[in-house]
Amino acid sequence: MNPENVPLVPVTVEVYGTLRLRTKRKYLYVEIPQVCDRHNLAFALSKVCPDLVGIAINNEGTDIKDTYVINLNGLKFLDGNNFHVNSDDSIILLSNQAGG
Amino acid sequence: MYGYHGKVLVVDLSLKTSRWDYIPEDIYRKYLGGIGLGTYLLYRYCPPQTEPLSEDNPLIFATSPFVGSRLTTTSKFAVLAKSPLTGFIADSLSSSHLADALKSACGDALILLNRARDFTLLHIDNGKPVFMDASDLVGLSTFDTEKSVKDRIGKNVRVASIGPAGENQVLYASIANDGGRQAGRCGLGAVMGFKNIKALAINGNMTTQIYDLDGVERYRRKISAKSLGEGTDKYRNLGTMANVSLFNRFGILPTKNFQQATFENADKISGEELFEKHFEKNAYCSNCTIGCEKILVTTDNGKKNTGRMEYESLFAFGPLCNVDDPNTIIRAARLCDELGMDTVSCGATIAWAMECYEKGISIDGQDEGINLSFLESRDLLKTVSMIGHREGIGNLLALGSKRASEIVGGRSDRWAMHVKGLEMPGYEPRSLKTMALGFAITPRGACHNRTSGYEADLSGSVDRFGVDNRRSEVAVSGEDFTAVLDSLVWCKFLRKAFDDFYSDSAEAYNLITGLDITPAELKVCGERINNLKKLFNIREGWRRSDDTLPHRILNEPLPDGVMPGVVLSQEELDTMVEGYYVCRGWTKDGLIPSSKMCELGLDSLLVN
Repeated sequence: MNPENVPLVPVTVEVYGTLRLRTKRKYLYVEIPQVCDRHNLAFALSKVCPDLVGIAINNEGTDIKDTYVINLNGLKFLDGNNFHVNSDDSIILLSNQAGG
Repeated sequence: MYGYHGKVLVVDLSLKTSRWDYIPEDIYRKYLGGIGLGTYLLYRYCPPQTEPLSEDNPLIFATSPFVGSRLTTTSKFAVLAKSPLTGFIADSLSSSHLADALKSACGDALILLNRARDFTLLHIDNGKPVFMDASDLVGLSTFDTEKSVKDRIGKNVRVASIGPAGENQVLYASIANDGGRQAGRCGLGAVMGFKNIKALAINGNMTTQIYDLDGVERYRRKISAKSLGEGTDKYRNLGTMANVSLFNRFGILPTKNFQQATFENADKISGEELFEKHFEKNAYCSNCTIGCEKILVTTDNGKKNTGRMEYESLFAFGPLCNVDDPNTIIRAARLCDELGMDTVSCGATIAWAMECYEKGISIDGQDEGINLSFLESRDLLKTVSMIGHREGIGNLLALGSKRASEIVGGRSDRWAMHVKGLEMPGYEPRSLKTMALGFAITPRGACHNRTSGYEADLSGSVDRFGVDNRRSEVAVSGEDFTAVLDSLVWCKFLRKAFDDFYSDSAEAYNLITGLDITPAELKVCGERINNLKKLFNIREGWRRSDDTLPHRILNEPLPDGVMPGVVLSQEELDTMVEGYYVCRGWTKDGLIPSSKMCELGLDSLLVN
């Protein structure tokens, strides 16, 4: 899913709530293309943390599920299409069930 | 009529009499049930300009057509009165077995008028009121009251009760049912306390017919399956406690009385941490497949304490009061449930007092050895108890932050974090602009549940830091959606399980009632209900200046979080509020023109 010969940048993926409990991790470290989309992210995450497959990532490991939302650095929500990341960025993966 | 009884039970507490009032079918079609039907009944049974703590204020328990249908999450009821905390509409939801009991004993609603002479246990036995002396129950916690009532009358009754806070008319006292569920906000327990009703015991065997029994059963299976899917995952697992760590990361976790939006020890009290170290079990309301309630247990050397925990209680006794000890927070939330008090208003009023202490402003009653400091949480539990019993400093704090700040003075109103008198829940409005608008305009005061503004801010459908024209539309549609949800009544935690909320809900409504309502009509019901709430407030003295936010929010930049320095100016808020009025079809002053009332079928109420 991640195209060959495209330079990859390391980013931190923060997980919360149910994902944190199920993966026993707060942070995941992945390398993704600088211009990335939800498919690249899902592919990289499914390799680093297979526990996410079936929960936040579809069973094929190719997409972030609709019940999860992607945020960059706590500032900007991403629609999953062609977003730009830098090497010190944090991607936050959160449930779409906001608040309560 | 299907789904409804077509009548409500009216009990006069002074005369010890009762009657059935009959409700025309078109009223049900317009207001649905729950909050909608309750708002209609409040408008009708509460005389204009009624003093909240007076005999004229009715106390209304409204059920809905979905109660008794066995559809998941629908065992819910609304409680309404004029709020002693805000002077405006008080509408609160609670759930579980009491909803079914109310519908089988009281028709579509129970309306309590006037006032009993002494503390009374009111037993509604299949529509017949029995007035019983409750002097032996006075002073008991809500839990002990429920147990005592069942011991006296029988295990088949369902109980609504107040604790000492309601007896003492703490202005944010709650009404408890089914072992700790609360109609929490706006001080409905104080209204019940004023009426000298210590407890209601309800049982009955009246039933309503369902229009399409097989259809409802098919629908029930379908929605139950969806309720166990990914759309409710958060609530079934960590519950709303999950908000703490995420809100801290986003810089929207109100801390030290909204002086900050991040809490340095958030990890110590996060939902994840509490779940790992304090979780005992999930609890379910009747007819619920989600089980959002997390029962936590203390783990320190003190007396073992078990209590419900959800985000609002966790935030209010945690970051808001700068408390990072989970055991203290669990005890404070449990104590509030025992005393029968809203955890949000209680925690927020204590946080206001802590800031007074920090700024050197003296409060009467503080000389009793109470150390209300953000640096010291040891007196938190003692203060909660003093509020419930209205002792010492608790007598002042029982009034809520708005009134307490007016009495104390010293510009302490500038950090009294309320809207219309109702304390703010755990969402930082300076960096959640849709939520900010929602807090300002919601009829019952600062409330996250009646607008769902956070939904847009935390999904990326709007820029949560900015102010734009779309904000008003989002607030209106969220508010109308919530009004329908709260009137049918579905639990809010089911909202992501629907494919199309209005279509799915119309289908369920029609299967139960046979009234053949369209999704578009249902949407108009939401608009109508919100307009009627506003109409009630206007009648009770609402002014344009009531749709605002606390001084701190409009004058102090946020010092921390992911966007330090972010502000929400008065001008920005005015722009959003005026845009909201335009979207509602109201005047620029926020009044409802007669043309809008005619359009929504509210004009007949004005004649009365």
